[in-house]
Amino acid sequence: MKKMRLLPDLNSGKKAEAKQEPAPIYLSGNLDEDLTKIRNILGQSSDVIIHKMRIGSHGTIDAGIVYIDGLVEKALIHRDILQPLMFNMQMVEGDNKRKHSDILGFIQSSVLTAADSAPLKDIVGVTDAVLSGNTVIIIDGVNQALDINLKGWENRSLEEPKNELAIRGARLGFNETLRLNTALLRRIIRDPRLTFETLRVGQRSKTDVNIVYIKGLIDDSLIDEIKQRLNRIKTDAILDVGYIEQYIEDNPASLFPQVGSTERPDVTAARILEGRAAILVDGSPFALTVPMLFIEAFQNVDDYYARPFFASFVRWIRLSAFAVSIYLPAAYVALMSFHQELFPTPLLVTVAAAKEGIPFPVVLEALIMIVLFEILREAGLRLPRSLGQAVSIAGTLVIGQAAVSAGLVGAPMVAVLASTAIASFVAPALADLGALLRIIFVILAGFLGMFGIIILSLELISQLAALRSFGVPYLSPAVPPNIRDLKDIFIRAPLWAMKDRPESIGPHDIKRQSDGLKPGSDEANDNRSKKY
Amino acid sequence: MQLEKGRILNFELIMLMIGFIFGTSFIISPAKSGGQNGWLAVIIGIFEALLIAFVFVSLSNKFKDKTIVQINDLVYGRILGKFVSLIFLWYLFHLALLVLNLFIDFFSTEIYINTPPTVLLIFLLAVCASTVGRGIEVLARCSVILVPLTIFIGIIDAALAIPNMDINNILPILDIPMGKFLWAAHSAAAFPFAQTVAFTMVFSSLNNNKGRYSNVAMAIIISGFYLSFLQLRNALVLGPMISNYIFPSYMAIQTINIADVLSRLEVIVTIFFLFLGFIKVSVILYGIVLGSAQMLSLRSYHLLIIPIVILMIIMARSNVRNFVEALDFVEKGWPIYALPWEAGIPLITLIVAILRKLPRTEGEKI
Repeated sequence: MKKMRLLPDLNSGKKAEAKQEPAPIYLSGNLDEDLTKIRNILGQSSDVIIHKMRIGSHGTIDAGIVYIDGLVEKALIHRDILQPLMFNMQMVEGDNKRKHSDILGFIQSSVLTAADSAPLKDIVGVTDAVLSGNTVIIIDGVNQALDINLKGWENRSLEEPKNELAIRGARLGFNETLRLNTALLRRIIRDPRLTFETLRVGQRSKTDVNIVYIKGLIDDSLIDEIKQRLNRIKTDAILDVGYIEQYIEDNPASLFPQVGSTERPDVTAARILEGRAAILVDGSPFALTVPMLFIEAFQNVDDYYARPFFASFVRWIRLSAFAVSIYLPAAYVALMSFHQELFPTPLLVTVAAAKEGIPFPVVLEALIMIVLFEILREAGLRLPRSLGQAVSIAGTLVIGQAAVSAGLVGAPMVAVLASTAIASFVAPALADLGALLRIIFVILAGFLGMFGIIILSLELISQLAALRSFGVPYLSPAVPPNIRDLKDIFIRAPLWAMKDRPESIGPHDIKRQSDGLKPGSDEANDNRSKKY
Repeated sequence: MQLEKGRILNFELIMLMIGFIFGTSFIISPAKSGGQNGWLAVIIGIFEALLIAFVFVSLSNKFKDKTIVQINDLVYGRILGKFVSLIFLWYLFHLALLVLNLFIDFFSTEIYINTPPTVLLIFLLAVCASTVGRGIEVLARCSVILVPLTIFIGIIDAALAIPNMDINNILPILDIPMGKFLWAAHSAAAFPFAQTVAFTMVFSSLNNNKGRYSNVAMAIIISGFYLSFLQLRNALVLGPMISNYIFPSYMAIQTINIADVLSRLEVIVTIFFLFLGFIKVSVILYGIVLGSAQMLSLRSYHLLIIPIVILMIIMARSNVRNFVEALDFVEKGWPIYALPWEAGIPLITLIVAILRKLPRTEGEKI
């Protein structure tokens, strides 16, 4: 755990980067010159608006305003920038004896009615600000520009998350706008130590990437490691969190996902509160959370929002469904080709009768069905929604009915595959992995029966035991064992019993809640029962 | 030069050791010649094993961060030390061959009658090799997952076999000649308990050096009593004829039949046999490759894995002519043959180390 985090230090990378960067070009103070430079950098695109105007009392001062049409709220620019500068400034200006150099500060503090503004010095800073949707004001004779945040563009409205539904949880999912997502998190955790650290990743896309964590709760070395891995990414564009995930995972050769991903703000907040960090990317409605543990794939929001008994039961259902989804077809193939004696005799008779007249060996039969199922699933995903229904009907008929009656596959195989398919949807985070493993397992079971299945399982266990996510062993807290953390693995302990944050993630502040929260144990709570 | 950077916890060591000791014992019984008194012989064997373990654990305790190969170099000097290490590595290699023989022949005679045994051998060694390549840490963690499962399944099996048990099967207790009984106890100590001498290659990876012997003793005692319990189960189910069965556990489980639904569990149970075989072969393979690399002063042991595995595949097929011969060797030859390595050499090394007043404090030249 310690070793992994102590990878080469941050500074060496930063120094090399600083050397490569050209020296910044500062604003000259001459309005026309500066605007030409900006125009040269931004090009002749039609959405770049560079507007010259005269401000101040009697229109004595030349000024320019730069923004990109479509990324700003035009109405707000009129109300908060143009109107104050052109009309109100005269009223406020009064004696008109201010020093020329301080005019920018004067405008920022006394004239503009927009709150979020900051001075800028260099041209690249100006263009970056403009491209990210800010509005920049440049004033003749001042070698600084004013960067005003009046971003505003068309948004998808906040909706219920498409893939992670909850029975009792909030019906709210992340959105494509970073600022909105951070606001969703801020609304859940009102701790002043909740920190959003912004990095720019992607040399052309210059995508905003936020690392979200609670200072004092999270292990600092984890933040350093995340920053180092993000700073390593020198690519032209980050189009989605998926890009980030593939650049920062620990072992790219492993089949297992090593970075958690969710589209629910409440899940993200819960993970942050356990001492993890979240990574938000502008333009993606998903949050990455690191480190990820294997068991996270089987935890669901409803486990925590409902009472613990059923939640614990359902967790076992999920674990066994995952096992079914990767083992069932292989086990059937192994039994049919190597260990027929394992079937109870009546079942064996039925199965053998169904197998009668099928031209293929059972391995091939299984592979055909698995591939057909994957084709069906993929087609269902890609087709326009209106056609999806047609595909599922055709699929059901073709695979379920016609294939059996045409004698291509046996009816038991269809039953096996159908149960597998249903089971594979239970742990969505591992669904891709399951589809691949299923095929490998079936092939090995065809060659070596149970022996092959066990050998591959042993290899998987050994891979899992070796895997780490940001330095944390993937199988923890089960292996290496941590008894205190087992409260949320095979059972979901009652909330009042989960006094500590999971130790295996390594938070600084281990205490989650005070002792004695068990309801009904307190004398004072008993007043009502005495009364009636 | 540090070849192995992984560190294991004491708990992981205990699990690894239990898995190692269970190893082949689920397939063939330790103390087979004890017949229906085998379970008592195993308990006596535990005491002998604890004595043997005390010697090699004390030896490795004197040199806490050294494997037996490095210790040999220090105690006997460069040249003689390499020779002693080579002999020790041969023991490990021979043990690996024997374990592979037992496992592969078990599978190819009971289940995979038509599959060439070499194919099974290659697959088993492939997964062992890939795990050994990941280091002792990963191997120890695998055992933490696999061993508790195995223990659990053994207890379930015993519970399911209760209807088939007959207390008369183990009576009269100890109705065999004393010499035969003690031989059975000794053979149980030699195969599997004292084989834990292979862990002298692993002790140096422990992250906590306290209570090394008590951990080893705990592993031996837990696994010993558990094996004794399994022997008792087999004897209760199979009766005095137990020594006629080659695979008593397999046979005992075969008799289970609960309401015609839970029957023919034996193939399922072989899954757990395979888990244990994996652990045992991996530990031995790890000892061999790490030991060879240290003996040859290599910078990494990974290069050695594939050659040694190939050597094992070839020699395991020619080591013994058939399964019966292997079994005969385990029963009659091994308890004597293995004594020098399990008890003799560690004892001599320990005495020499004490006489030479090793280990000396740091900075002192040897």
